[in-house]
Amino acid sequence: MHRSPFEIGLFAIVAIVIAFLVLYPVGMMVGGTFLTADGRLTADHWVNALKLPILWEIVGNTLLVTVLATLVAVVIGLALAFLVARTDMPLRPYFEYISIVPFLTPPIIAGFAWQILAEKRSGVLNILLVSIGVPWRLDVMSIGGVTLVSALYLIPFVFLIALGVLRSVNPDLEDASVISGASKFGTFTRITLPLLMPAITSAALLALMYSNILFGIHATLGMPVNIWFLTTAVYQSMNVVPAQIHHAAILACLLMIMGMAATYAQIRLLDGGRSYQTITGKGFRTRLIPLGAWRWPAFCACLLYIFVVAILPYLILFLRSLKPFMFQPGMTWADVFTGWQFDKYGSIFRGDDPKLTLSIWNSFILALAGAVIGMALTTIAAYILAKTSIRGRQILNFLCMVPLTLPSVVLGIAILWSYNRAPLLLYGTIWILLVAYVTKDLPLGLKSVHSSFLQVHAELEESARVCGSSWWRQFTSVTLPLVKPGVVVGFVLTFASILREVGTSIILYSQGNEVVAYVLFNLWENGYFQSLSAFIVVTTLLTVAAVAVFLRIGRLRFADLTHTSAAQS
Amino acid sequence: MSDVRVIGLAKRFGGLAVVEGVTITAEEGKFTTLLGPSGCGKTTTLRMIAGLELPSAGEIWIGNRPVFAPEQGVHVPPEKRNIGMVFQSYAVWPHKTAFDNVAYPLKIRRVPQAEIQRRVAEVFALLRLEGLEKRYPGQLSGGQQQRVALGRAIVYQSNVLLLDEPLANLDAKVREAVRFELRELQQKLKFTTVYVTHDQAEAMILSDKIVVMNRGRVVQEGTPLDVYNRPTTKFVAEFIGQSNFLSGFVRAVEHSISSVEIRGGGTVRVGVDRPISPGSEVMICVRPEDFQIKRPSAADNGDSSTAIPGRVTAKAFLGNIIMYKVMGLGQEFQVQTDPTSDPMVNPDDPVLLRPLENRIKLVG
Repeated sequence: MHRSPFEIGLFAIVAIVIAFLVLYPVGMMVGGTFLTADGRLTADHWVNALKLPILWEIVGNTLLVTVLATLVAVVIGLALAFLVARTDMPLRPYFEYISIVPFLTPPIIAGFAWQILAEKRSGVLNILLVSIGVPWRLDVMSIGGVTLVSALYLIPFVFLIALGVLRSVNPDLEDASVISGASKFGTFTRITLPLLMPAITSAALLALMYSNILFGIHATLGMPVNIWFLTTAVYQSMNVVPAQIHHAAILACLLMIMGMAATYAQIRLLDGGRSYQTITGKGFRTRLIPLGAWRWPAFCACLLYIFVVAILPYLILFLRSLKPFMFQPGMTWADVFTGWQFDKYGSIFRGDDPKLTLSIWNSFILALAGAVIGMALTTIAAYILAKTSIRGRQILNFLCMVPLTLPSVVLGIAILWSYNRAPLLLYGTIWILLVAYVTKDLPLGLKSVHSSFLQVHAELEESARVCGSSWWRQFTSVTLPLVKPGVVVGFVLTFASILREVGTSIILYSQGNEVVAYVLFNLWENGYFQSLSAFIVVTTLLTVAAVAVFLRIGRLRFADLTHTSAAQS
Repeated sequence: MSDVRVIGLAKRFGGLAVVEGVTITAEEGKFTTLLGPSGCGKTTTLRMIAGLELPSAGEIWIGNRPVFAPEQGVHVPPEKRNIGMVFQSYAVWPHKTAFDNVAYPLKIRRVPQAEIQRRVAEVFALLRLEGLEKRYPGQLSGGQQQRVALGRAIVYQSNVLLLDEPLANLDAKVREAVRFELRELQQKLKFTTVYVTHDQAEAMILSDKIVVMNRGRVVQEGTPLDVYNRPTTKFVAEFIGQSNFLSGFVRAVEHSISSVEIRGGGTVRVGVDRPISPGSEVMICVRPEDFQIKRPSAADNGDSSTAIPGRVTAKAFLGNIIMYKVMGLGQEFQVQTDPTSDPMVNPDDPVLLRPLENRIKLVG
């Protein structure tokens, strides 16, 4: 632990840059909602906005879907984690991949796919139901549909937290209960579950917070049928002519308050000493509960989940990319599998629409630049947090976590608001997107690297100094190689996250600076489903290829992503 | 090799002194141990010698060279002190092979490749690590990792070897074997060694000199024999070996022999090695093996001056020794005898305890 002048200087620079990135836009936006055009203080914007009758319907929808989706996610996520951590279900270790579902299937792509799959009239699953003579139909474009699809994509966050805690429960605690005369079930309800309660509550609050970032699902499944949520209402306020930026900002503030409330509750919970220390230093093997006849049904249930959230969406998008027409009621099952046309792929590769090719270039360059800048900032921040004793360094942790409470449309509005006047006139250039992406992924980058730095025991570095190496030599020969996996994982996740970032992209793009996410959203709004599907398939394959190359360069395996991707807890 | 001199060393955090006024000399080629309970400041002292911790006051000299001397503005960073150190966690780098770990200090010192090969091989042979060169730390046992850490610390011609509880994480069996190996190695290579431990048996086996620390200060130093046989304070007597304490006051002092009246138990004669005046309150330390235990008999009536009456409360046979607990004078005594001279008393029997006058000592 030390604090050289060099480190203090580094701390000052990074703290100022990050503080500016995070606080300036939010401050400008919140402040702006209280100012008139000529700069006088006013409450008019708020009064007008809160008077709108539709506002309360929007807030109601948002709260309803958030709470219900969280409940469903907690129940299913806990059950999946229990099966993987504590039972003899076949192939259990492979199901840890559940934690990278959000990385595999971003909400926007899930939303497109589920619209094709389970739309009331022409959804493929409904065509299937008709063909096998089942009388009822799925309707994903409804409050219930949004809730269920949201829940599917919140499950991994709950799963990851529950998995960690379930594994850390010392079996002695449960054995003591059994010896005291409790049954297995009694032990589970009286001992195991209460031990898990703080973690479950924390996971639920996290899911509550994350449900607001599911803009992609809210937009694709709600907007076409006029079901509005705060997220989509923010976007819509900017989409009408003339744009209602004050209105958008006030809705964004409401969303931000919800996110902050959930975060605050979570912090209070963890600080309150209610997270029981059940982890012991000694390694122990958790005894597995035999499922007996239920082994394979449990296995199938887990497999079904992965199929439904990560495989089915891409299958259907691939299928749709080959069919020129929307699936129709009255279509037979055989019609779905015939008449395939590959011309949309040809069109993309020939560059028929220069906007598509340009957007791919823009997105990949922005993702690369954003990941490099983001990781540089967060790696320095993580180093200062973990390895120095500079007073006040915890501010970096706080600052980097602020974007977690900002759904990306909120961040988009805030950035639009604050970077469109001299000397910071970035709106209309591609740089405003870069600023937005770097800001948004600060939490992801810091989480990935910070834990790596913390895992490097101080004695490993001290012994290098004692052996005669200078600080710089020690840093490059011992510290850096040991934290490298965390940096590479952070880089890959940030890169992929930027490529899929929708909320800020659709607010901040401008003519000639289109990015992939904007093009996807634009194709969808105009109803070009076949082009949309083909474009998703192509960009997804490109993303996977890029990630594979980065992992190869960093000498990591795909499995190394599992522990960090959803590890936003 | 050089000696290490620490003069008036202190480390304070705000108002709290973790180490205060510590003065120690670790002689060239000798094994010096800092011994004390956890939190006594021994590790902090060692880390200040290494340069990993900045002292608040004092001086540190390695050989003829000051490495910390605030008046002259000297603070040599750890990498320039030319020391070897073994950490409690071993700190063997998980991303380097055993060979690369040991070779690291030589690479830093730009030793030619062939020379590196030769010296590392020597160390591997010395520490019986041959064949493990290409292994990563994750593939080595605790004892092997510990030897790699030791190898890394001795592979270059360092001035001093510092060891911070290097045996604490080993299994009991391995630990016992390594203690003797370490002592043998030090005797062979004649390193100036400063060793930190809280385990008194370890300190007794390894050291030429023991420095006992408590609450950030040195309380006593000397050879293992010295410290055991002549503890100067109650703390040392209790921390090193087991002790019984009798309180009393000095009746008279003559030719460095004092007569001490034990509260409620007659008078004993105890050697003194420092000025002490009649009438002062003192504490007498009696090791469990320094009591004679016997059944009371008629012959004792005339000569009960130095015998403490008591009653056996527990007895345990440990093979080579027998342990008794005896209640007397309102306190509990630990008494140890060997089976050949055992009086064969049993719990509830009345007994007399007689401190062996040439073995007992006055403490603080």
